Amino acid sequence: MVVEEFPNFGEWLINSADPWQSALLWFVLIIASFVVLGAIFGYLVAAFRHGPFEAFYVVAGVIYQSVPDLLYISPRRVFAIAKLAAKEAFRRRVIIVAFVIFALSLLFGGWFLNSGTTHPERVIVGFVMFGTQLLVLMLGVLISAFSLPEDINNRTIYTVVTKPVRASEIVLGRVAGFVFICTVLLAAMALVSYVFVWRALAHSHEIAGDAANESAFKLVSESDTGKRYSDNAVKYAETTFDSGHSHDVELVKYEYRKDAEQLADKSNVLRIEETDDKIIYYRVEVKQFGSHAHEVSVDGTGDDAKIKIGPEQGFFRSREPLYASKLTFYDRRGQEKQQGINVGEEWQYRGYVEGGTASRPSLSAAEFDFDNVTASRFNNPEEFVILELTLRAFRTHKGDINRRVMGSYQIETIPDPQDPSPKIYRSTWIPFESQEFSVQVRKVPLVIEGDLVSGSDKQKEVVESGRYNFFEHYANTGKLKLTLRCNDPGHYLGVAQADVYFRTGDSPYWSNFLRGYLGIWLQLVVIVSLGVVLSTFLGSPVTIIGIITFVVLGFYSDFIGQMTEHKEEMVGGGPIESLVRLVTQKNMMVPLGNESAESALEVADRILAYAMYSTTLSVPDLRKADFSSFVQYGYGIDFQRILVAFTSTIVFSICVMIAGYFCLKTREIAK
Amino acid sequence: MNLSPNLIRKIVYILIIVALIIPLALVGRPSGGKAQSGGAGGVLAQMRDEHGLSQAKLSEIDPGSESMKLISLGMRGIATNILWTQANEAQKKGDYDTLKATLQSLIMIQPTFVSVWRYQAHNLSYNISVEFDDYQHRFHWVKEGILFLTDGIKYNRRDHRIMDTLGFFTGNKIGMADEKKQYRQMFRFDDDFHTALEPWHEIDSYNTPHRHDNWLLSYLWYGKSRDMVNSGVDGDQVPLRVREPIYYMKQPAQIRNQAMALHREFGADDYTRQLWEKAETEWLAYGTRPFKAGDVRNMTMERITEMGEEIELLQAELDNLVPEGTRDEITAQVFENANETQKPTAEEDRARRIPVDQRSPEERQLAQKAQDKIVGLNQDMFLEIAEKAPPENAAEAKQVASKIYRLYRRRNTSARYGEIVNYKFWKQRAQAEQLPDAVAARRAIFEGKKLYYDGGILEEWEQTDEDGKAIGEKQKGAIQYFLDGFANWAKVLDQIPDLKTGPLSDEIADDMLLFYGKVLAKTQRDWPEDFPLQDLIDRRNINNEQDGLPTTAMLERQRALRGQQGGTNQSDYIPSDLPPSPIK
Repeated sequence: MVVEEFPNFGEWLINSADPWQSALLWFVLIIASFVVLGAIFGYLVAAFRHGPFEAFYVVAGVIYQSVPDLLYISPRRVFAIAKLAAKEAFRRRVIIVAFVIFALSLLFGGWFLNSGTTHPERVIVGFVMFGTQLLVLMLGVLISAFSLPEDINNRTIYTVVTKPVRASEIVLGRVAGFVFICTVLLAAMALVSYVFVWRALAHSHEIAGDAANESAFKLVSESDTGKRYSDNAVKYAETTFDSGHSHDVELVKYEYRKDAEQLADKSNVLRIEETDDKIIYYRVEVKQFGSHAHEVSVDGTGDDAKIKIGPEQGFFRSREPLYASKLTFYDRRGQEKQQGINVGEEWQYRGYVEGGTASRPSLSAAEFDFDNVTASRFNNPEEFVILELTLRAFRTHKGDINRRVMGSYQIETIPDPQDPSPKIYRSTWIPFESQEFSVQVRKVPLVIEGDLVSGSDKQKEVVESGRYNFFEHYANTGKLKLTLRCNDPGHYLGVAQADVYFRTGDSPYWSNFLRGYLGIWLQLVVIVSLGVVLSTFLGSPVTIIGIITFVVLGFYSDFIGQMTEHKEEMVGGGPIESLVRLVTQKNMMVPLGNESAESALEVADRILAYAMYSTTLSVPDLRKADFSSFVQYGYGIDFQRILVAFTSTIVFSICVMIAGYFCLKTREIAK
Repeated sequence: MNLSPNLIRKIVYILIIVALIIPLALVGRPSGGKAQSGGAGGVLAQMRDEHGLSQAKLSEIDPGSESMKLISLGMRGIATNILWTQANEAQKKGDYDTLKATLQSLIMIQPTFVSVWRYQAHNLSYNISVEFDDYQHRFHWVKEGILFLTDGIKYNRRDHRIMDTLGFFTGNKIGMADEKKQYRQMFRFDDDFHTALEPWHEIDSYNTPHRHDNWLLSYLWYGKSRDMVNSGVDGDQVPLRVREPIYYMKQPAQIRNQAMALHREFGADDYTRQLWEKAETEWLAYGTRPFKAGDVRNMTMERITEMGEEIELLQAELDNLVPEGTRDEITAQVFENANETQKPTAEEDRARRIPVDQRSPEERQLAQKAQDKIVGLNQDMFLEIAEKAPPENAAEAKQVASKIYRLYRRRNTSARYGEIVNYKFWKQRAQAEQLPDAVAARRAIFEGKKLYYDGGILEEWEQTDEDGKAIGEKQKGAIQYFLDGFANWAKVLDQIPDLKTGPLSDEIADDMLLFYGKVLAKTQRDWPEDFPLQDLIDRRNINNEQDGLPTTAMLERQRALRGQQGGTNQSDYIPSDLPPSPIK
């Protein structure tokens, strides 16, 4: 899964290393400039209405009154207004319409969801979350944009403003009421979506063939199907083709010495053979298709055995990853680099490490630094910790086509800089065969062979070799370095920071699903607050256009930012120059012919670009609260991420509501 | 009556609207079926019908697709753009499931754009498949592309290009990729895939003694396309969108591809021999089929020589109608402005002057070349010759000249396409591969290679038990198999000498002789003195084919040198790299 930001709430709020990156500082600066600009704007409006001298008193009066209005908000009155707003929204029946549309889209939308994809859970979860987001946000826009202007038009607002209610309470109450009604809808949609996802992904298979026993299997050694089977697979079969796919099934041989501890789980053992010194178990295993596999159970033994394939496993997952805090790349000479090698991909999310050549091994590596590597974080595992990798492979020559590109990793203690005599343990290189486009699960044993080393980074000397414990030795400082290399000459392995992590455990899927919907709720709060505030001084249609503009800017601020940032490099110019080129039929490479006109156009385009860029800065980045990809890909949404999104959303909404208060306050109606 | 300006404005607006609606209705009236009066519909409906563009003609009416088009509310273009952008973005980021889902939506709103189907299917089968490192994943995406394209058939019932592309992907991508060995093997056993293709091809229809074969399926796809073009759909003609000679070449070509693939995988046998027989029959049928290419009609590749002879006869007839020496005179005029490279060589010119019935096959070829060069310099030379005819022969001479001209163009076009599709070579190759000697040759080389990897590397070998004790009789070893194979190849090449140059000789050199050379080097044996294919090696050397095989001159030099030095038993032929070590 693609993760580009790894937020830490504390650092995000106050960044001691670079104060200008602190969100708190920016909040203060934005509010201060907002107050100053608001006062100036208010003064100009008042000056227009009452003249320059009177305006001063008007503005001062409004500011003076705002203090008690904002500080002495009565929860009781806010609750009453919220209740009223919710009732009013409910009576409009928009909520029912929205729910019916949602239900219909689930009923018929399933037709267009291709179940034959390798990862149907991503497509289905993406579909329901996008549908919910779209409908709930649209509902938020509609009810917030129509409410106040209609009340003002119908004069029903007088029934409220003539009561001892503060303008701030009206704004807050309305926002709360609308958010509540949309929350009810969102909760209902979440529940229905959960059931839909569960139903859509549920499927089962049977062993293909006449009988669900060993007779359905063929010997791996005697038939060449072109497929790769596990190293210790002796026979193979297939499941029936259901839900757009089938699985390979293998009869895998496990040998145990008689005096050793035997296989614990025998539920899928089809046959047991005994020799003088060994017991051989033949287990039936269903191979993974995309992100899921199936549980297998075997009833009976020998020829009477019946293989039963259970429900799917792996769709409803919520991994809790421990991501690296830092990723460093090294080139073939072992020199530190900002980025890995680019193998020609347009998307530079991943950097590649090089496998060297046949005659010269490469020192190219990717180094991941992990913090908080403690046994308690991993729920005190007994045998192994799980390392998951999502790698990409790139070949410069055909190589051995029958196996995937090989890599290896090594773990090492990150010493405490304060410790004068740190104990640094470094494991041996652990090889693995890469696996692309799916999460590769590696079990890292708790006891790994390695060395106790001493010395500086470059020149480390082995003090002692042995078998050391993952937590007690390698991660004795709570920090661990994992180095990844590509072993195949002429080949490359591509990684990003989020591609290599330790999986500390799994959280319940429903809780992650809920966290995903919390993101939509945060977006909803922003939209409703904006809607209510804009409707205090704009008509309904203009409010709708306004919010849609904010939403578009909020979701595409990154894209707009990129467009405006690269303005100077843009071949063919910005919108105005492009228009001129269109009209004059001059392609992007041809000079326009008139230098002064060209510079004038450039200036005009630059002004537009800056205007566009500054607009994107003033709207909240709604993508920060979009957690759908986490649910789609089966990753737990971390608390820090939620906290950052929650804080920025609430702060933005409060600021917007204060602005709304002033707008309503200065309108004739609210006086 | 006093009309307010507002009312007047409104009336004017209404009148303009009505005035615009009338032509709009006339143009856009839908077709109501021919049985009803005025059922042909408006101008647009009539034009759609005329050009076979109406939805019902193009494809089945799919409710899903129609709903998608309706939902886009006339903004189909924008929706298409957004979806294409999304698809590109998903591809860029390696999110192929999203890409596939996006494509499903995309084709719903662009179902009758054959290019979209072909482009995106190519994208899946060729571009996305290679992003994966594991060949099993690659094969999965190759199939995804093929299955995606099959969805497009029902939406484009009157366009043969989807079937052609399916034939191409099924044959070329599975049978020619680097992973062809693995792909073809997986294809044989992929019952789910074959079941998915059942609506178009019965599973058994492309079954062979070696299970399902992709080349045979490719042949069947091309066959379906050909049926569509030849018989039309629902009584309507299906326009051919590719040049005839190229289009009709595709189907027979798949038979030989199948045979060649089976040679590699299982060696030659009676089944492959039958395939070559079929390949020859269909290739000859292709060669005798009259094609249209541009404004040239009735061109046939099989009649190139015949047409050449006919031209010669007509030229003689023309010579009889004009004063003696006219042709030489005109030819001399043609040569006046030409440089030396444009003129025929002395040898060609000499062959040209030999009477037609006295020329040897080689002289015939040279004379043809000379004639081509002369006509190439002046295409109107026959008409110019005819103009010199006395008045009583003028009409007939002109008629003969234009006949020569037409025939000449037909022959040249046939020859050009013959070269493009390598007609003559494939005809001779199909004939050669059916010869018992060729089957025996391929069988022997295949067995030789197999034995090499199984351990029977020398001239003779015998099976041994666990203690290394010989069991059974002595058997022929790999080296002997190779020698037998080459002897048989020599017999084949003697029967059809044209094949001593070209792709078959390349295959023998690269795939068989070089392997044999490496085996000799590995076993420290000399290159045999009376090697059956030495003539082929020498000929390739003369033709500058740098394959590193020892020529007669090279061997003689080495032998002479060895004689001076006292001689060793070691082969002097050192290949660039050795074949993989025998497994056992």
